[in-house]
Amino acid sequence: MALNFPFTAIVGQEEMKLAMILSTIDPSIGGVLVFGDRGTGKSTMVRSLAALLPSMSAVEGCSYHCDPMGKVLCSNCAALKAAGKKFKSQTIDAPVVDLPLGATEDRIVGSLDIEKALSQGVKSFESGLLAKANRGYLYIDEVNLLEDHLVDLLIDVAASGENVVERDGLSIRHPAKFVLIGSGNPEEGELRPQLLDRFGLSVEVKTPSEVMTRIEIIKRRELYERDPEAFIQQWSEAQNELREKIIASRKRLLKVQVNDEILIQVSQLCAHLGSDGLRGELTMMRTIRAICAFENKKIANLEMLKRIAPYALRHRLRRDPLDDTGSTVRIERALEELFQK
Amino acid sequence: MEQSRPDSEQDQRRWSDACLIAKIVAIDPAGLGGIWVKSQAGPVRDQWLKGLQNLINGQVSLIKVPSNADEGALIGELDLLKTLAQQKKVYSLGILDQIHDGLLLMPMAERMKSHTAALLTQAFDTTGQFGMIAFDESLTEEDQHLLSRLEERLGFQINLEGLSYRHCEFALESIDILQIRANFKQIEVPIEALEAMMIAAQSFGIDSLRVGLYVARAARVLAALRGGDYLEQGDIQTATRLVFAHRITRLPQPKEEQLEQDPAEESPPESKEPPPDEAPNPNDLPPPPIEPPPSEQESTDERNQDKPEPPSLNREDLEEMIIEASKATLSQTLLDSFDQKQKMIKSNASAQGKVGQLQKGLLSGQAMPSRKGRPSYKHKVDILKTIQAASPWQKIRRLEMQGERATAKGIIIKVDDIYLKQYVQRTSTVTVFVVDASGSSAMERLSEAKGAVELLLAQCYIRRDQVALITFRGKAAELVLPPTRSLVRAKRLLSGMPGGGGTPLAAAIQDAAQFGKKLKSKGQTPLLILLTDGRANVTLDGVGGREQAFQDALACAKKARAEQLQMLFIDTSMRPQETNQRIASELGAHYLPLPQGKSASVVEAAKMLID
Repeated sequence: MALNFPFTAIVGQEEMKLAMILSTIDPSIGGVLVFGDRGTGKSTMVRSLAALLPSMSAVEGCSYHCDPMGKVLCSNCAALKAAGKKFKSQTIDAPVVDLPLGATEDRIVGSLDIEKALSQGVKSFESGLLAKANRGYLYIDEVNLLEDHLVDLLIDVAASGENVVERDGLSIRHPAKFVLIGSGNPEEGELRPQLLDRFGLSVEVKTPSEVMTRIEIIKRRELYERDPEAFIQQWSEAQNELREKIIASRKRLLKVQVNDEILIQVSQLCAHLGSDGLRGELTMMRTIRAICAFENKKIANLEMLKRIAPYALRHRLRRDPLDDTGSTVRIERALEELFQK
Repeated sequence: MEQSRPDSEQDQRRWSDACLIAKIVAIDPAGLGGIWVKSQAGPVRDQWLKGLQNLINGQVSLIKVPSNADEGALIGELDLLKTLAQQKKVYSLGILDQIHDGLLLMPMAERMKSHTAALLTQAFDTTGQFGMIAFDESLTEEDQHLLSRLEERLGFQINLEGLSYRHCEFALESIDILQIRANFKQIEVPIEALEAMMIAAQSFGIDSLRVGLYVARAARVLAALRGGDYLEQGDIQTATRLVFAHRITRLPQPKEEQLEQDPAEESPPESKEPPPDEAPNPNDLPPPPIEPPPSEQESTDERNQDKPEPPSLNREDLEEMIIEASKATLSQTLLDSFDQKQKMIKSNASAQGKVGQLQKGLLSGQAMPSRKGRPSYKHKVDILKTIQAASPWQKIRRLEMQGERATAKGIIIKVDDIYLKQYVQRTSTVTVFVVDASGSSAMERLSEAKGAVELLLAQCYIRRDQVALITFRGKAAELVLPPTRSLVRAKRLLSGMPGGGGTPLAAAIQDAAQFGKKLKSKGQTPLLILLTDGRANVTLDGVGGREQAFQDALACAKKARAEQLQMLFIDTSMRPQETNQRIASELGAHYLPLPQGKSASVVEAAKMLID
């Protein structure tokens, strides 16, 4: 495997780090959208995520790495289970799959296996990137430049957690549950609201302007380039610590109490901001829970709500073309109006 | 434009820098990203390339990537013909698989599709096994640009435009690249140098963090080229100069402002003399910043004591030196442009101009019925249809077969059976507003035009259309907003738009038609909306004169008509002008008198034309 810059060694960008960590604690939060200038470490951070994720067990030989304990299984595994056979399981790294901008539909959803079709005359399915990303992460750099027909496809799969292939004479469905991570620069094109809504959290990153921060970044990068192995070794302790913390947080997740009082406040906020649909509320609730688990708090409070509201709602607000106020500002204003006495 | 001085000296320097950059990149292609070569094809460029080839002398691979290279060619794909012949999967090797620490040569890089660029940059980021030499052959600033995604990753820019062949000799020497590669990796960059460089980068308004890495790499390579095993000031100086040159967006702030950013400052370090200003144009330059928290000073000293290495590099000195060196590369014209914020925004914008454009291709879009044909990289094979076509012949073919293959399993497919998939792609509409920004009524008209742009953009994600804006005033027309779907970007660009001056209607029509033609050649459908009150008073040559200006406008309109563009002429003058109607009819445009030119009604009119 190619070496990656350690997640913990990334300087600054705390917002983005937190969003990433929360989405690993509770994947059902539904992905992170990172918008910002180039050269701010967006890609570096996503790629570094792979090394941080706890490994997981999967059915051996299954091309969708189904969870042996899980309820959602691909057709093969389900058939095995129905036949009463036991799964052989193996431990694998959580997949982080890069979706190149120019990927064809075939490569994403999968297509007819050419080799088998030609040599044996057998119709069989060759799985695509969506299958690979099942139970892991799907990363789309420059997501706002993705072609429309691919966006449509992703919207559907991301919502249903299932990839339905009806093409080339194939009729296949397989689980494709993944956390969508997108990055891009809003100046190069807007994202369709439908896709925006699929992302749970969003962060805006900027190039750090603080001189010392910038210097520190370059120093670390230079050290890394000179000797990647040693650098990774040096950070392995911090990495392990964070990984343990994520695992522990996942266990704590269900024990966190989110009282009705908080839920009411969440609804109030969403209604006040006029965010479309209920996904905003859902995401906020899950995120509050995740951050409580991560910071080892048993009961959610207003403080938490205030902290995560911008992440969860920023991209869900209706854009008024003639109003220049940034979404973050609008959220902060709403928070103040609602909860400041 | 004024010529500041006979530039032979500067030209010499440009050329020698170009040669030096070639050397540096040949040694560390992956670490430095590559070179952005601005030049038309011509003897000078050939000379440079020949020099580079000579230099690397087969030690490093140099592979050419055509601008239309597709995924298959880059990352390898199933070789269908071989697969059929051998009845098993055979993959062809992609260019990116074959390049190990080598260089990709990309002619006409400005035409590269964003798809291809995405593949390249993705491979570059993940494996990082190659450098890229991008030949940018665009003619004008506004023409086309390298994709910003690519540009960001290229460490250097060289400009061979306007160099005389006589002056350009690439010293023919071959260097032992592998040896130097091994050497430079041993060289350490002192932390002080890194710090100084980052501070300098910031004061020049260079935001990208990659730049720091590139300077560090380049400095090490330079030291190794020299044969040294540690960095000298000169190395850092040269490296900074080369890497910074084309990225500088502003001049360093005067000292006070810098200090403000530094609350850690307690007592200033014993007063430093402001260095003698050696930049070519002392008058234009504010004094370079002398800056730095004293706390840092201590640690710097400590570190220096730890290290008995010969070069004692003081951070502040370094910083000054870097700033001076970088400034020295700036030519007068460049310096002038920093004063004009407008220009900066513009260059920034056009650098991103091409991104987001719809891709033409035979590989995506709506499916059409397949057709027979030979597979090539341009097409996709419709496997099902192919097998269907082959199946009736199986028995006969098997009888014809002899020996081993007759008993082989599977279908026998001949090249004639192959069906190719076909796609059509809906072309997108680009609405181009051409707005008269001249004279007194300019402000109002401009703001209405802006409103119209924003209104159209607000609905743009539904239609997936793009909007562009050209304004004209004074002597010429200017592309203010390149085609975009992004409201964010449009707003930023529109906010700082100047008005006032004469009405160069002829130039506007000419430029707009040219722009429309360019959009058409990209497969998009342009719709030009001209908002003006007529009253042309600047001729095509940029001099005043009402009658001549009107005649010029008519002539340009006649020519523009030949492009067969869809146009809407909105007359914003108080009373409909007969002259305007004449121009409109010469243009073949729809004429619409609209004294107030309200945004909403403009948008309505545009929509009617689109639908």
